[in-house]
Parts: sequence; C-alpha cells; structure tokens
Amino acid sequence: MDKTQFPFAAIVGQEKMKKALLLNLINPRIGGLLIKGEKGTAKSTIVRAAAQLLPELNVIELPLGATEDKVVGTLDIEQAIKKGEKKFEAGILAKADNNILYVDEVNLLEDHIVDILLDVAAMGVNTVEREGISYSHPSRFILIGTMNPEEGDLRPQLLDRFGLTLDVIGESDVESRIEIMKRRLAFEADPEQLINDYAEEQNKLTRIILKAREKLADITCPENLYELIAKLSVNVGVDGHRADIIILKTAITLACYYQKNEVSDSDIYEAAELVLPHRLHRLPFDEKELSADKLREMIYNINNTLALN
Amino acid sequence: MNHKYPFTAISGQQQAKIALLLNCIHPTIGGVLLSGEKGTAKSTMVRAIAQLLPEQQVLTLPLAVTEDMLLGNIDVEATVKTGILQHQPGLLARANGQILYIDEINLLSESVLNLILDVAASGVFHIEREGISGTYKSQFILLASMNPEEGALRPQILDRFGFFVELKASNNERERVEIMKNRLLFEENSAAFYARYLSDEKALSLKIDRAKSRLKETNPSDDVLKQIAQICERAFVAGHRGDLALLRGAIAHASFNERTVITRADIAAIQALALAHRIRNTQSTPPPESDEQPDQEDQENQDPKSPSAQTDEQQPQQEDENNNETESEASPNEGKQDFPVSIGEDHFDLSELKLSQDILTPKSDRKIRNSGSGKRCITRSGTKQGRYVKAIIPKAKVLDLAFDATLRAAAPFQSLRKKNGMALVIQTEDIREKRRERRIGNSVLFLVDASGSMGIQHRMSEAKAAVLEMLKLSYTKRDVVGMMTFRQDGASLILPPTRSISKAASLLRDIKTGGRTPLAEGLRSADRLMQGLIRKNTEIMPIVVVFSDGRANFASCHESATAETQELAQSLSTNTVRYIVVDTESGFIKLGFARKLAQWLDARYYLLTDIKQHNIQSIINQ
Repeated sequence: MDKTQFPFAAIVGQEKMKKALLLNLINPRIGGLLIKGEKGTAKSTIVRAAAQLLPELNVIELPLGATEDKVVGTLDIEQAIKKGEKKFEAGILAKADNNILYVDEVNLLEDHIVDILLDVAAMGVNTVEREGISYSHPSRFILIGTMNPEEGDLRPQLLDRFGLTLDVIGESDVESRIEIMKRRLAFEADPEQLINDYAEEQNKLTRIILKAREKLADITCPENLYELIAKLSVNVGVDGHRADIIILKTAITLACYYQKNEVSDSDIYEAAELVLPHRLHRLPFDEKELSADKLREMIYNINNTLALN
Repeated sequence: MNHKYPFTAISGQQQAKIALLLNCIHPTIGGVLLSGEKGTAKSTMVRAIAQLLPEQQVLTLPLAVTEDMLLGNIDVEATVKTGILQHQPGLLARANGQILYIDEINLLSESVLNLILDVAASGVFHIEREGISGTYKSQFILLASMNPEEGALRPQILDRFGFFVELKASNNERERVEIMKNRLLFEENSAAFYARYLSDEKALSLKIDRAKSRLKETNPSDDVLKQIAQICERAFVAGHRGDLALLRGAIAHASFNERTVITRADIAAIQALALAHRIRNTQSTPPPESDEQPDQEDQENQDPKSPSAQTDEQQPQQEDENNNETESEASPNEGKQDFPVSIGEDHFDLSELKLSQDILTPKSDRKIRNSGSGKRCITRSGTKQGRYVKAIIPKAKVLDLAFDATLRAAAPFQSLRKKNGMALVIQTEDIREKRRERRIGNSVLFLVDASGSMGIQHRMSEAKAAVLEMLKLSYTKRDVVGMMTFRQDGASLILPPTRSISKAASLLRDIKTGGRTPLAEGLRSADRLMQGLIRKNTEIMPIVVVFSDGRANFASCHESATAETQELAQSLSTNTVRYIVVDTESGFIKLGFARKLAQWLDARYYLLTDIKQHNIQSIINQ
C-alpha cells in the first residue's frame, strides 16, 4: 500500500464528508457515498486517506475511459497464445470486491459502463458471458463517486445505488484555509514527518471504527423510530423501499459511531439528511436543501396536525 | 449455506408474486416482466422464487453478453488440444429447463433481446456458424425486470412476455416498517431468518409441485374460452398472444388453487397480468363511450351468475387460507402471506388495465415509440467505446481486434499449421473484429429570436420551458440540449449543449432581449456550432429548433435581410443537421415568414401553441 498518503486525521474541515466516509467504513452495507461538489475540494484526497484507516481496505479506481473488458474482465490473451488455454483475466470489478470502488466524475462515465455497474451493484456478483468465457465472481464493494453537477446529471437508477450523498464546498473560513495550506506544504516538504505527527490520531480513528463495528451487533432501535422512518419516506415521496432501509442502517451506524446504546430520533434525522435528498423527484428550479432540521420540522407539523384532528 | 431472502417473507407485491408462481407452474405462459421503480424488490423476488424450485437454477444474463456466448461457439482449448472441432454450448443451451433472468432488460442490446425472445417462444434455436451447425433445445422460464425511468421497451417486445407486472412501493407506514425490520433481520443472520420461514417455504414449494402435476387435467370449457376471447376483444388487445397468456394463466391459477375446473375468478385474477401491456394505444382506439357499453352489458350477463360463482369460488379459498394459517402457526412468523390472492368484487373491470398502461407508456413517450424510433439512440459504434455485441470479418484495417473470435476461427486448423513452438498459429484470414454498440442521443440546439419584436417575453419563457423539459427527459434519451439567442447584431450561445439541469437552470435565468433581428447570423452561428459537434463525434444526431417569427430586419452583408436569410437557409446542409421551425408570430396580421423559413430549411413547421399542447420531446422525435 502507498505509505505516502496524506493522513486522514490531518485533513482540515470537511467534517460531514469525513463522517459519511467513516460511516461507510464502519458499516459497508450502507451502500457507498456520492460526493457532489466543485473541483479542488479534496474529494479524492479524502477518499484515499479514509481507506488508509483500515489496512485491509483498498481503493480501486474506475477510470472514465475504461473499456468494457477491463471493467468486467476478459480472456487472458497471453495464456491463450502461449498455451492455447482459456483463462479469465480479472477486471476492475473483481479487484473491487470487498474494497472501495472509486469513480471520479461518475456522471461522465460512459453509458454502457454505467449499465454494467448497475447490474453488478444490484446482484453483488459479476457475471461474464463473453469472449468464450463463462465466469462469475462476487463483487461487493463500497461505491464512492464524485461529481460536479454542472457537468451533467446522473442517471436516477445509478443515483439510487449510492447509499448516501453529500454536497461539499470549499472551506470558506480563512483560518481553515491557512491551516490547509500549511499542512499541505508540510506534507510536501516531508511526508513522513507529517504522517508521524498524525500517527496517534490516525490510530485513534481506526479504534473508533473498530469499536463502532463491535457495537453494531447489539445496538437496539426502538419501535417508534421505524415508524418515524416510514413517515419521513412517505411524506417526502421517495421511490421504493431502499431509502427506508438505508436510513435505518445509517442511523444505527451513527449511533454506534457516537457509542450510544440505543438509536435516537436525532440519528434518524441526521441519517435522513444524507439518504433522502438524491432520492426525491426534484424539479429544475427547486433548491435541493433538505436538512435534518427541515425534516424534523416537517414531522413535527405532521404530528401536530394529527393531534389536532 | 447461502440463503436468499425467502419468497414467503416478501411483503405485499401480490400481483408480482402470483405472476412468478404461475409461470413456474406453467412456463408456456411466456415469462414475466417486472417493471418498477427502484427498490421494489424486483430482483429479490426473482432470486427468492428460485429457492422454491430446487431442481431449477437461475441463470443471470449479463448485459454485456455477446451473441456467440448465447448461441455457443467453438471450444478453442479443446479444439486445439484434440485437433477436432469441439462445440462449447452457449447460455441458451445451458438455460434449457432452467430459469433465465434478465435484469435491466431495457438496457439490453436489441439484437440480443430479439434472439432471446425468439428462443423463449419456440423453445429451440439453430446455430450455423464457424463450422458448427445444429438445432438445440432451450426451454426456460423467462423472467425479466426493468426500471421504466431508464427507457421504455417497444410494444412488440412487451407483447412477447406472457405476464407484465408493475411494481410500486408501499405507501403504508406499517408495511414499510415490516419491510425494514425483515430486511435488517435477514442481513444480520440469513440462515436464522430463513429458518423462520422454512415451513412456509416448504408448503409453497409442495403446492407448486402439486399444481404442476394437476395442469394436464385442467382443461378449459368452451365457456371459459369464450369469456377470454370476449375480454380480449373488449380490451382492444393486439394480436392473440394475450388470449393465450390469459388462458394458460387461468389454467395455472386453477391448478394452483387445487382445482381442475377453471372459473371466472381465475380469469379475473389473471387478466391484468396478461393484458395490461397488450392493450392497444388508446389514442387510436374508440372513445370511452364505446368502452362503457359492453361493460354494462357484461355486467348484466354476469349478474345472475356472478354472486353464486363468487361464493363458490371464495369458499375453497378461505379454507385454503385457514389451512395456511394453521400451517404457519407452527412457525413463529406472523407476517405470513395469504396465498392465494384474494379476488376483487368486480371481476371484469378493465379500467385498472388502462391505468396501468398509462403509467407504462408515459404520454410523452407514446409518439416516439409509435414512430418506431426505439432504436434511435442505438448506433453502431465506430470507436473502441461501446458494448461488444458480436464479432465480424473486418472490411478494412483492424482497429478493434475480437481476440476470442479470432482464436475460434483459427482453432480448427491448428493441427494443419506449422507451430514454431507456439500453441496457436493465427493467420490473416482468422482475424475478426469487434462490433460495438452504444447509445447516443440527439444534440438539440434551441435557436431563439431574442430581438425586440412582439411577444418577446412569452417566446422566451416558452423556449426556456422547452429546454428544461428536454433536459428532464434527457436521462433516458441521452440528449444534450443547448440554447443560442440572436438579437441586435449577433448571436450568442447562452447555454452550451449540456445534460445538466442545474446548469441550464442557472444559465437561463437572465437572458438579454431587445434590439434588431439578425436571423441569418443566428442560423449561421447555429450551423457552425452543430458542424463543430459533428466533427467531434460523427455519430450524433444534431437538431436545431428555431423559435422565431421569421422576420429578419438586420443583414450583415446583404442589402435585404430577407434575401440574405433565404440564401443562407437554402445553403445550409440539412442532410447533417435537422431543422424545426416554431412560429412565434403573434398579433392580427400574420405575415407567414416563419413558414417560408421552414420551407427554405426543409424543416418541419409548428406554431407556438403546438409546443404547448404536445410536449417538445415528442415533436423533436417525430
């Protein structure tokens, strides 16, 4: 593994993005993260840095120009010529199994590659029927994508495959910006020194992930919170049931991250803020703000109306 | 043991469940197409049903399948080693007796899809290629799913499926809670979860088996045949596949409910599944009044019989449910399913069918599909990008070698060729090339007159609305949309061609208007932009939509603005770029310049009001 990655703990700001990534590391079943934002918001640095926290986790990149055979795997040409044997040469989807599949500018991905991605993400299995090869292998990955919405939207089906979404903007605080520059310079001057300086904090984060993972097994979620989730989904109008399930999983993971023994409604709202926005049918001029506070307010109003009637 | 989600644990979705069950009992029904929004358990259901059929496997058809893998081809390894031509069976041969599942069927290459549907219908396929020839048996249960947001399927293709089910998420909070809980329990411990449903699963599995063996004894009476024919006729079903699917479905439904006599209730339970996707476009069929007429008639006919038929029918079913209950009481599971599905009061109410059809074929899509341009966005790709569908013998220099096909072509001759230490010798005549397909949409440019003529505000807002409307639909059509305006003394590109709604929304907010009308300059700039796009990608289909009253009053290099416009319009290459003229002329006196412009451009001509009535997407795609 590349040792000279900028350490996760040394990244300034972008707290929401960091937390969303940690949640996915704690519980891969959340289903990945789509990061929306302009260039230069350290999206890809943060993703790569996050993977460093768990030594067994790799970041496999799906480049935009990737051809179909490189993605799904293909006939091993060398074996075929030298030995006359058919052998499957694994593609990106095989490497991504149990790892992070990272797609930078996912909205610019070729359509037919998106189709493949949808197929595999749905089944967790990559089935190959091409070039004389019939083969299938597990391909379960944490899908992390970035996109700049100005360059085009994502197909709704693919959008739905991302567990969480997040809008990021550059840090606007002057102090933070100064700190970002300082650390970046320090890293470029002597990467090992910076990595050493943050080693302890890095370990602390790894411990947080592992401790939260332990909690996952025995955390409880009160009955009324299931109803709250259903109410949220029905009232904002989402397609299907995936949103409900992901809110639930995310809220559970959040509670574990906070080292609580029980999920609370604030976890649900915080989760919903990450899960719902990209699953709504939005209108062109709609502002896409959908914060935890707004959702809380909505439920409060609904409950009040119900109480009055 | 890797357990899938148990079929009997799936909440709701009664229609889909019954459709799947009946097809497993009676595969000649012709398969099921599940259409539904994201996250409605489409693929979960397919995988779950397979668990009830221990002797059958689910073969998943990957979207990136190539034709030779479907049909079978030469086994290169064996052929080279033995020197004798060896055949490697394809997916279709392996699917014989099994379940073939196609997820996202609307994204599959059309040639592959047609091939599969032909085989599904005939149960056999023939190969004549690469020295192999033969006829092979391939009878399978065809199950498919799609999300209509990603694009529709043509009616001809829909018609090939026995049953069609539209799935929706539940809006019932309690049911949603149930679904969440079960999903979480299943993911925590799939074996324990499965164990809870084991007795239900076994009972249902047994019931399927019994129904299968009862099929042969279940023969339709003449009365049943007549009823089916009447329903199909009344529902304006195209062709006869619907009749047969309804008949076979009713037979299977009766067998499943442990009867050998088919009743009205069986037909009623199946009609939506068999007919919803086959009803002819209501636009071309009689008005609603003629719809109601037979409805009433039928109800009158039905009335004397119907109550008794119904009680007869529901009696055994209620017993059945009770049986189920007693069976499942042994298991701790409370959210058990009630099979068979309960039957509605109004047996032959066809109104539900129409509703479904409306959702299936959004109005905006109808015209496109009728004009048969479903394939519009599939082009053969000239580059290395795109989906590899088949191998061909190259006509020119090989850019995209199909290595697999090349090997297969070379394999039979290996024993005759001098090897020089290599395992394989490939000669020029063996070389094959990949044929790829990719979807490409239109590139639509709205060229809008922003000069200070009459009705400018109205014209502008209509054009903006049209651009956004196009973009909203561009997910599935892969269209890029741009906007250019012309006013004062030139043209300006307001919105470079894009797929982004958010970008369009912000760029279209403030557009300068007023001044003279340099129409010719506008056309010239639009053409220049489109020619540039064509140079970048030769496969695109460029369209320019001109919003103007056609009255030019500013010429850049000509005495008369009108003459300049005419000269230019006639010189533009309308072979590579298609034009559409939307006449925005308002007021009492109509001068009809826009109509002339349309003639010069060899363009289709619309009034601004047409755009409001029909949607822009259908006009562009006509």
